[in-house]
Formats: sequence, C-alpha cells, structure tokens
Amino acid sequence: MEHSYISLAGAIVKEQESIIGPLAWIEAKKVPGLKVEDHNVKIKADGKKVLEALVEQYAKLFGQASVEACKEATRRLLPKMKGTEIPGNLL
Amino acid sequence: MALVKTSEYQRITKELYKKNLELVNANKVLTLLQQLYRIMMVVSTMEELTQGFINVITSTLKFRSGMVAIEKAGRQLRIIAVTQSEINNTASKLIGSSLSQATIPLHEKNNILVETFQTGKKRTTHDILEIWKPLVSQEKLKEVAEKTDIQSTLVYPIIFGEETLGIFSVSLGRDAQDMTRFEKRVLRRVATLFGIAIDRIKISQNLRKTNKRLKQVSALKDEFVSLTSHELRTPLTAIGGSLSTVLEGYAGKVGDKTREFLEGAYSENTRLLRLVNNFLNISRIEARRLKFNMVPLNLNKVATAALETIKTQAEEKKLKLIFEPQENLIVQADEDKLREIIINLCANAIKFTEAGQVTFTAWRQGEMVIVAVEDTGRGIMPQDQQKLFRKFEQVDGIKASKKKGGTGLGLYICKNLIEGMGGEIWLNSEHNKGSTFYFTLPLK
Repeated sequence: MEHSYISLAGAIVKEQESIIGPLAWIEAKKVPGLKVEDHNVKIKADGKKVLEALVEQYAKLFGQASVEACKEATRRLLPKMKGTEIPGNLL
Repeated sequence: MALVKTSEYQRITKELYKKNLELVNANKVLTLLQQLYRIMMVVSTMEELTQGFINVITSTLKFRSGMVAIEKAGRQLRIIAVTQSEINNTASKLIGSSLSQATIPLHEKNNILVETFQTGKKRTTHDILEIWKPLVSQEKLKEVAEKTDIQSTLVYPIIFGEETLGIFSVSLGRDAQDMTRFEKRVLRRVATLFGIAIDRIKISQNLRKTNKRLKQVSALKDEFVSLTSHELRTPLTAIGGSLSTVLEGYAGKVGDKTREFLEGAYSENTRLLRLVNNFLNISRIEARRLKFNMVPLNLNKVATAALETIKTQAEEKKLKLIFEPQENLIVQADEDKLREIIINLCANAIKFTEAGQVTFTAWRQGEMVIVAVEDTGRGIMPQDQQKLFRKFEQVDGIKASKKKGGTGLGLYICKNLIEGMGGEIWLNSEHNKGSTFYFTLPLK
C-alpha cells in the first residue's frame, strides 16, 4: 500500500512541477511525513494523511485549480486502490 | 509605493497558477499534435500514417492498445493499423491471420466499430465482444476477455467534412470515466487531425495515380508524334525535291501558269515540312532526347544559307532582308540547329512585319557571339513578352494563332536549342516600334 501512496505523491509533485517549476519540490518538503530527496519522495507517516496534507499544501497557495491538477495527475493510479484508501481531497 | 494586500496577493497567485495550468495542458496537446503533424509530413501511405498516429497516441497517453479501420468500397471497415499489444496479438492468433488484414462488413449488427462509423458519434464499451464479434467466436472471446486487463474501449469516428472515413479506437486499463480532461481533449483533437491526415493521403494517392497515368499517356503521345513526324518527313522531303527539280526546268520547260501552281505547292510543302520538323523537335525536347553535334562553324556562312531560304517570303511582303556580317565569327554549335534557329527567328520577324525591314547582325562579346534579329513590326506588348517562349504562345498573345498561321512552337524550340548549345535568348521590344531578338552562342 505504501508503494501506491509513494506513486501518488510522486505523480502529484511532478505534475505540480510542470506547472509551477521547482517551487513544487520546495512546497512538498514542507509537508510533515513526506521526505523529499533528489526529486524522489518517501513517506514516513500515514500515507493517506500525508497525501491529503500534500494536496492541501498546494491548495493553500494556489487554490482549487491546484487540487484539480492533483486529481488529474492521480486519476490513472486511483482505480487500483480501494475507495477507503483514497485521500478525501482526491475523490 | 502602495503595498499589495495579502488577500490580493493570494488572488493573483491563484490566477497565475490557473493560467500556468492552462498553458501546461495546451503545451502537452501541442507537443502531441506536433508529433502527429511530423508523421503527416513524412509518410505517403495510409498504412504508415495510421500506424504512426495510433502508436504515438497510445504510447503518449499510455493506453493499453489502439486500432484504426478505414471504410472500404462502401461495404466494409478494413482494419489497417493496430498497436503491438497483448489483446491485439491474442485477437490476431484467434483470427488466424494478421489483425491488420481483417475486415468487418458494414451491415454487421452489435459491433461498436461499425456502429461508430454509421452514426458518426463517439462510443464507449466495457465489453470487448462488441469489438471483435464478427471476427472471433464468442466462446474464444470470453476466454480473452477474462485474461485481459482492458476495462474500457473508446471508439471515435474519423470525419472529414461531411464524410466519415473510418474509425479509431483506444483501449484503457481503467474506466473511461477516469480519463483526464487532457486525455479527452487530446482525443477530440486527434480525431479531427486524423480526418485531415487521411483525406490528405487520399488526395495524394489519387494525384500520384493520375500523374502516373498522365505520364504514360504523355509518353505514348511523344512516341506517336515522333513516329508520325519521321514517317511524314521522308515523303515531304521527296515531294519538295521533285517540285524543286521540276521548277528548275530539269524535267522540261515549265509554263507560267504551271509554274504558279508548282510554286504554290512547293511553298506549302516547305511550310508543312517545317511544321513536321517542329513537332519532331518538340517530341525530342519533351523526351530530353535532343542531341547536339557541336562543331566549329562560320556563322556568316550558316546565316547566308539560312537567309537564302526565306528570302522569297521577305520579297513577297516587299520587306528588305538585311544581313550585316561584322567579322568572321567562328562559333561552337550544331549546324542544322543553328540554321533552324536563324530561319525561325527571321521568318517570325517577316511574318509580323508589315513594312520596313528585317536586319540580321552578329558581333563578338567576350567569349560569346551575340546574334540579333531586328524588325520594324508592330512590337510586342510587355505582358505578352513573358509568355513568348512558352509552348503554343504567339507574339500577340493569341494561342496557336490562326490569324498569322503557325503553331506557336517556334520560339519555344529556339529557346531549347539555344540553351542546349550553351547560349541564351531574350528580346527588346516596344509597341509599334519593332522588336529585336538576341541570342548568344559560345565562340570556338
């Protein structure tokens, strides 16, 4: 399961990077439980909560449009997960 | 300096983000379309085009598989491009031959490819039976359906103008509803581009076919003209020789009335022979079979002989035919062709001059000789000068003019003969003040 959350977090940050550039990685580093090293992410806490916090981190700065971008980035990966495992703000 | 409020700053940041997002998506679409355009520019067959398109689409958007089918003879859809994928390979095995050779009749019921083609509307299915139904038995398809991870297939019509040309499909390992807006947007754009690209290939294929047919017809025509001209030239030359012999009195005294008729016959025979020679030259030029026997020639000698043959034409119109040799000029040229050029230019000058004179001069300039044929005719309008050296054009701009006779081929032939000998031709002309045609030839 942790592997799926890592894939989702990676997809989100990369999508944000394509929109706002290196700032996407700087903001990701501020998320508790998310470790960012050399453009790779690792999750050190509850995956679902970390992902929710990551989406929220972008939403605080850039609003609803950034949440939609996160949803777009993860849409291909979400069907592999159970509904209860999916972070609420990605539904 | 006014300070920006935090709330205003946040609003601006969010707006900028939205704009960035739009740009990123537009850029992705453009990148894909650029790849497709590149394919469009380099391929020449329908198979290469559709295979290139479907490969790029499925690999860029990470779809499981893709396929393109084109309407054939109004009766069936022919699959012409499939991506290399597990489902397509399995289907090929089940059909027992390559999937890209398969056809589906347009009367087939419950087939989503046919349905999309007939309705011209996008269709989505979760059941692969709906795609392969006529090609593979239902039992076998059920086996395939159980093994594959394909969850949905989208089929788009390929439309250009009012006409549906075919369909393309993409299969996904997820529900079609989970497609991103970007994917949906791209597929809509791709469907349009598919239509344009296929129409372009169709036009290009038709043009190639027509071009090939025209070349064959043209080759046949050239061969016919060449053969006919050869066949005509021999008897015409013989007739001319005989008439000349009779006119010169070798067959006995010729009465005035008889001479008048014979001279008329001789003149018409000469005209016909020139016409046949023109056609023969044209067929050689068109077939690039002109050969030049380049030798050192005394220009004054060749010109004297050539002008002798058209002297009577000038006399009949009471025109002075003036030849002004400046010096002994030895040029490198083909004698027959040089004579033909001189006769052609001078005969033209006589034909289009009502009073005055036609003057032939030549002089040395550097490594070349410049020859000039000047007349006191009505001149040529500037807009007609552009067309002069084209086939079937005459100086008054009337195609193959009947008014002055001739075929409008003379100057076209002259230009080709002169250029073939390393020279060039041009003219100076002023309306109502006459024309001068110049051409150059290399000195020996």
